[in-house]
Amino acid sequence: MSDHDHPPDDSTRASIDETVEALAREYDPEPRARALQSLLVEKELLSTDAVDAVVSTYEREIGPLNGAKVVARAWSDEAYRRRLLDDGMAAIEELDVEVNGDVMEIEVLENTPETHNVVVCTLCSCYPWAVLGLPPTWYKSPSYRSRVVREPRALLREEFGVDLDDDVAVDVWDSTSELRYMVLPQRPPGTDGLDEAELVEHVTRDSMIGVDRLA
Amino acid sequence: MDGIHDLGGMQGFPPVDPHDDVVGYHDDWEGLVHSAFTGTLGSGVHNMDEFRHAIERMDPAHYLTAAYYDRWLVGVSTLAVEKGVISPGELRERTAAMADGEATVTERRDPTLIDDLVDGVVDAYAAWEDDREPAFEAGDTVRVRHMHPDGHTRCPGYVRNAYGTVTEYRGTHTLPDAHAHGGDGSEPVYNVAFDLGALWDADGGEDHSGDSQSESAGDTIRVELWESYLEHVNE
Repeated sequence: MSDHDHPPDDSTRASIDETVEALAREYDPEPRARALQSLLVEKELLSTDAVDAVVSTYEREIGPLNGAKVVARAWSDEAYRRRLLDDGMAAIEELDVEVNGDVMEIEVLENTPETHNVVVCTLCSCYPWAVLGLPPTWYKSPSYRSRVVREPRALLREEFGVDLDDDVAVDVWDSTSELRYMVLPQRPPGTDGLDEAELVEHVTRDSMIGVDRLA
Repeated sequence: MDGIHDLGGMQGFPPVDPHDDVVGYHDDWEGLVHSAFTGTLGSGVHNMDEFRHAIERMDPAHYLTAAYYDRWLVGVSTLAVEKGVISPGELRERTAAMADGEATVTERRDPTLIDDLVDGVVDAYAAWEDDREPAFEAGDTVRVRHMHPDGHTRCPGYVRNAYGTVTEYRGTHTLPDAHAHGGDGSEPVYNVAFDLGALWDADGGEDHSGDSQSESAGDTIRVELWESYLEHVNE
């Protein structure tokens, strides 16, 4: 892409920022998104097929079910659980969940009776989409991003209804690099006789972010 | 840069609305923005750090009120114009035409393009693998530099000047501060743990009733930090 390698100087940058922001003040996202898509298709940086492929991947193929399968396996198979905590990417790939290790590294954080893990990205909204799909709206909100690193217990109690005992320590993981985190929640009580497929039903997306506690 | 995007620890926002069971996009245009991002990142128009920095440069009032994919839309549009892929005039004209119902989305089939774009996205995420000895090791006490760079950084403001403990060496990774501005190279990255109570001190935490210390006792914030963000503490 050598033809694009002309870094703009600060004044060019400022005027472009102003152009794009002015359009944003004037128009809703939808016409702006359709205009951008059309222009990129015309410049051959995008195609109708590519748009369809991206949308269908995130609408249908990737979602929290991938993470739930990983959790259910870890609850049922002690050796798998250890592999998952030791090398999350390799263990996730064992379950035919397609994660590209060149794009994303995933570390799995285990909740225990002593420790509760919760995940955030305070600087943007990084999220382990390969196992959980697209993030919920609240995960991307300034409210969540600002408060969870300052008063996680109060946030969990007041806004998510998770009231942690004083003897449970909270670990908040701020995703600042390309490393992504997924929480392995504790297995809920009363699930002793269930097989892996039944256990999947007990795993919530929010428990794998750390704002829901199953046990 | 010390922008509005650096939200950790800011106060005064409304409560979180935790109810969101949507799997996938909330609006059709969000998928269009996501694919536009794939197109420009996968074609090498910009890298991830330039993309994040383009969003960080947004007007603060717009940043706070914009939907998540609207922030992406601003980021991709800004970079497509800055890199000379789209002219400001054609973006303005086409947007107006779309809003007025005078244009339809351009259709063009190219079934092999998606594979090229996916390869390009993988390249975009590939980290420089420098053979470099890490300066810190697990157990070291470190202090985060009191830094306020004008450009992009992945060092959140709320940990600057704070003392933490290195818990794990993560290998070398592309330095975002350089990569967002045309530079390259990588640095060791560490997971650093901060005591939550010490980070926000006694009256900055949970409540002001005097027992805030006890409520956050033992609680920890863990952040991935590049080596140049950190300095040794002489004990």
